[in-house]
Amino acid sequence: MKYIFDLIVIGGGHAGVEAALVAKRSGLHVALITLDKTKTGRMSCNPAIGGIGKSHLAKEIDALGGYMAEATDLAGIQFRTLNKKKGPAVQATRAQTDKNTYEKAIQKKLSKEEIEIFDDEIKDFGTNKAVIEKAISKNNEYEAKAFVLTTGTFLNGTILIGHTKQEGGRIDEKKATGLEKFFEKQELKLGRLKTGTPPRLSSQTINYSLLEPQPGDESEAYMSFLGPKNKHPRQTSCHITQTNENTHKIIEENIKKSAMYSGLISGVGPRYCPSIEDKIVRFSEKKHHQIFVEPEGLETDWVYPNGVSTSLPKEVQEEYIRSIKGFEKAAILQYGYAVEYDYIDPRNLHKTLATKNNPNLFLAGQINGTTGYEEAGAQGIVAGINASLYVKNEAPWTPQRQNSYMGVLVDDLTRLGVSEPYRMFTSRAEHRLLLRQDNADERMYQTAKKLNIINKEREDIFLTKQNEKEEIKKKLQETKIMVSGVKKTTEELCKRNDFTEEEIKKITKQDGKNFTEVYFDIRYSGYIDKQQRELEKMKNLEEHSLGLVFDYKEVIGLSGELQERLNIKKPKNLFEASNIEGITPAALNVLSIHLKKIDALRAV
Amino acid sequence: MSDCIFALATPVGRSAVAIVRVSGSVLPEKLVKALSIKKEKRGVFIRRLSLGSFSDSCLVLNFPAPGSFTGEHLIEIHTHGSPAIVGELFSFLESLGLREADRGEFSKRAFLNEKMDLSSAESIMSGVFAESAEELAALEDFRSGSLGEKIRKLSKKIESLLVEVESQLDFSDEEGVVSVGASGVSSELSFLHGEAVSLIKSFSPLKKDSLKKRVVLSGEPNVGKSSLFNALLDERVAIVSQTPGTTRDIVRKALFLSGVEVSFEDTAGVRDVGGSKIEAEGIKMAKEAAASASLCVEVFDDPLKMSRNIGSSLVVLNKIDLLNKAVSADGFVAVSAKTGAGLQGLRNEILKRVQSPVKENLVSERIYLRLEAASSLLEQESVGLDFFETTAQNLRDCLKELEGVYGVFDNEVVLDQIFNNFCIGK
Repeated sequence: MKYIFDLIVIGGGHAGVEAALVAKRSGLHVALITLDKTKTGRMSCNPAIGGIGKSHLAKEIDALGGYMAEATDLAGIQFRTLNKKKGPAVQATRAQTDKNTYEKAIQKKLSKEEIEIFDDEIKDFGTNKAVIEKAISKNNEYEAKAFVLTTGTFLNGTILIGHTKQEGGRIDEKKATGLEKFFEKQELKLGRLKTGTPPRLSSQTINYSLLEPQPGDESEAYMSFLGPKNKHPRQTSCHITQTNENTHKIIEENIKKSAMYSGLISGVGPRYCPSIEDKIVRFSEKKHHQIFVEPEGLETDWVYPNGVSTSLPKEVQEEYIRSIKGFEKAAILQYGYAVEYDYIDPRNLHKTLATKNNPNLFLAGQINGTTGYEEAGAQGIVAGINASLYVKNEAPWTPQRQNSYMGVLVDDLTRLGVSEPYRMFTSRAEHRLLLRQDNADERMYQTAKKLNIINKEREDIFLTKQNEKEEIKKKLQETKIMVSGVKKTTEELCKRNDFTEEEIKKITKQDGKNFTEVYFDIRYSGYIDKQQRELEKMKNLEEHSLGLVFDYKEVIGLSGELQERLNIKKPKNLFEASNIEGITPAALNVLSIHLKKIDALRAV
Repeated sequence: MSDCIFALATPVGRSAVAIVRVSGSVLPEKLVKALSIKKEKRGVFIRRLSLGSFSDSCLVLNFPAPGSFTGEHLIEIHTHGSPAIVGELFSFLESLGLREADRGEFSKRAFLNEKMDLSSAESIMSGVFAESAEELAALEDFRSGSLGEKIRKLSKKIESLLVEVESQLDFSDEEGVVSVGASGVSSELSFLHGEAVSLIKSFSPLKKDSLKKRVVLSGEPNVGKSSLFNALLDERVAIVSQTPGTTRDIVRKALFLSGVEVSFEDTAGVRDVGGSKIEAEGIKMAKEAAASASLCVEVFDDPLKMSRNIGSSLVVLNKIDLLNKAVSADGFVAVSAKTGAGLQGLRNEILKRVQSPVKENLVSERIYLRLEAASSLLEQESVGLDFFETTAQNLRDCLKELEGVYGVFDNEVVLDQIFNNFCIGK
């Protein structure tokens, strides 16, 4: 069969879903092609959305009209706010979700939006020079003006448990084949990464009376800016247990049997998500490691023991699991495994996530070397927006570092590449204080409005909130009190450390739920000014042309490596040079001195 | 292609030997002939040079390009150290079409010809583009180069605190990260602030003229400040430059006293007008000038009106030629600007007072400002819900400031350290 669409999304994971949905909101005729549509929107790792740095992304996706946060609200069975005492910019919402409810919510949304979904496996692309014209499967051809490819861990995926190795992107699911040949033809640089999951346990076999419960927050929290519109299901608790010396002994004795340590795995795994083997080898002085016992849903007995991902053989998994308090009789429903997969070096991509070789092929998600549902969703929406703009022949959009975590993500990936599965951390954002999860709507509104990808309901909620914030701000500006003999507005007091937020709230007699946001908008306004100054400085860099530097080998004080890199990249000016990997402010100084020297010599 | 310049390389004044250096990409034929040297022959020659009405035996050192300080053809002429001989030599060189070098021009040429082997770009910036050779010599980088190491050490400490704070922010839900209280972070901050402050204390910023000694003459009108000023400078011993006063009311001239450049400021005229407002303004100006001066010279002409101890000022009694009887110069210097009596003693006293015992350790002003900015970022109060995240921001900004001086900082380094130090991951 032959099909014709405006835009085709290949892959039905978290990136693919957001890409397809935003293309639909952009008014395009969209198709989603996936290996098994019943698994669309599946959470293959732990059933949770959000967390530090990640809820920031989820809320930015939401502010652009994406669905991840809404689905989280519909499926969230435990909500917690992290970093409550560390400051508003690093505060984050984390939701434990019902895995089944989540994917059903996603699938319902896709069908409501009338996005056509095909169960199919794309093997190749048909091209006309660099432009891709169609995606080709065994029996079908799908023509479109742009394509978003989100293959996740399925590109050349290999599942490893102990010494056994089988092909596949997820346990018991076949891998995607054929496309790696296309990428070879394009001479895109591929790399290999690794990730892993823990064994899943049956809740009926866990002795919860021995575990420490970890309930959610009392106060109601929502991931989406739409708030209570999406009702939470019944709330439940997670539990905590920990490994012990016996567990560690079992793992140490069997370490050679782990796929990780037997040399079977060549891919690089994430440091922030080490396997239990890794934790025990690398931090051998620790006697215990914590395990969060997370339910995968309200109606299922599947349990995700967060903290013990492994690639040990099945019998060792059984042994060490049963050495853990509360798990003495635990039955394993699915063994833990490591998965190794190909990714495409994201430096092959523009910041629009279009490949540099093919202008209408966009890549998003784990294929770009990232990990995490939120990171995937964020890329999905960036790729989906730009693919749509491409179809409509409109100028591309790139999120910026200074106003979004999406901007940080896309910039880091395309500029620096990855050396391990890339995960978002707040420390990656240099303008962190301004990128709060609570002001994601404000930060993304202009873009959402301009691209016309949010509906009236969402916009109204946003504008109402903005009005309320304006009111609060006005009140703060109008209310004046005497402070050590000088009249001060309460707005000024927000910046001072000798008045707390609560005190100012009382003085101005306000209790609006948006007060905290306004308070910190004011409190951090100095950082906005500073950011502005830094941007100005960057602009200045643009004015220094490097056009007269023909050979960087002549620039004394630069390392040989940098000289070579600059000779290859040939930046037009200092600003472009500053964006090159490895160029430090010190190196920029050397370059600017060199420019002065050229000027001086020319002046003589 | 650069023209031919010359400059005195030794202090102005009387000395055993004076060295005049000449540098240019091409040397005038006449000069080569007059010195009777072979252009390309490196070496030391003894030559008798005819200078005006006399001649002097000189040592001539020839450094053909590029093997010289500037990388150009460079000649050193060692004469006897008399200002008169040097003056004649200058006229002689000028007559051959050479010009006197600008401040720092030799160093600048050396840099342009890549003769200055300076690893740090920062020191090139501060050292070459604006400064003279003597300022270079005082710059920390040229003196010991240990500031970089000190800053790196401080940066390392700041970085470990940042790692601790960041791990509290990004990994607060991890068991591997032990929770740290605000008070712990706060005391670490104040410790680092102390270190930064004591580092800064050992340096001063190199500002234009910061090595010049400023001497301000002040006193009542008609005590003879102006004549003293002229008398001090008028003997044509060593006037090297005349900079017009930046403030209309302050006349400023520079003089070398035994190789130390001293600029004299005459605040005369400001108090001449009787109106109280202008009087106040004048006093204010004079006070300001005096406050920032290396030395304030208070001039009197009446022993009865004279106060002998005015802070750290040098008290001078002028017009002693008019006195009937001799005064015992106790706690002051007695001179006569008119007859010249006591002037040499006054010069010696001024020189003694302006030569600070410890030579200042200078860094470029830019470095100094960065150090100050970095230090102030470490000065934080440990209150507020946002203490952790704002502290993290300030520490980052602080490292950036220090990085502007030396070294490298990037986000990934912090993450790397967190992963190395803590067992992160569930």
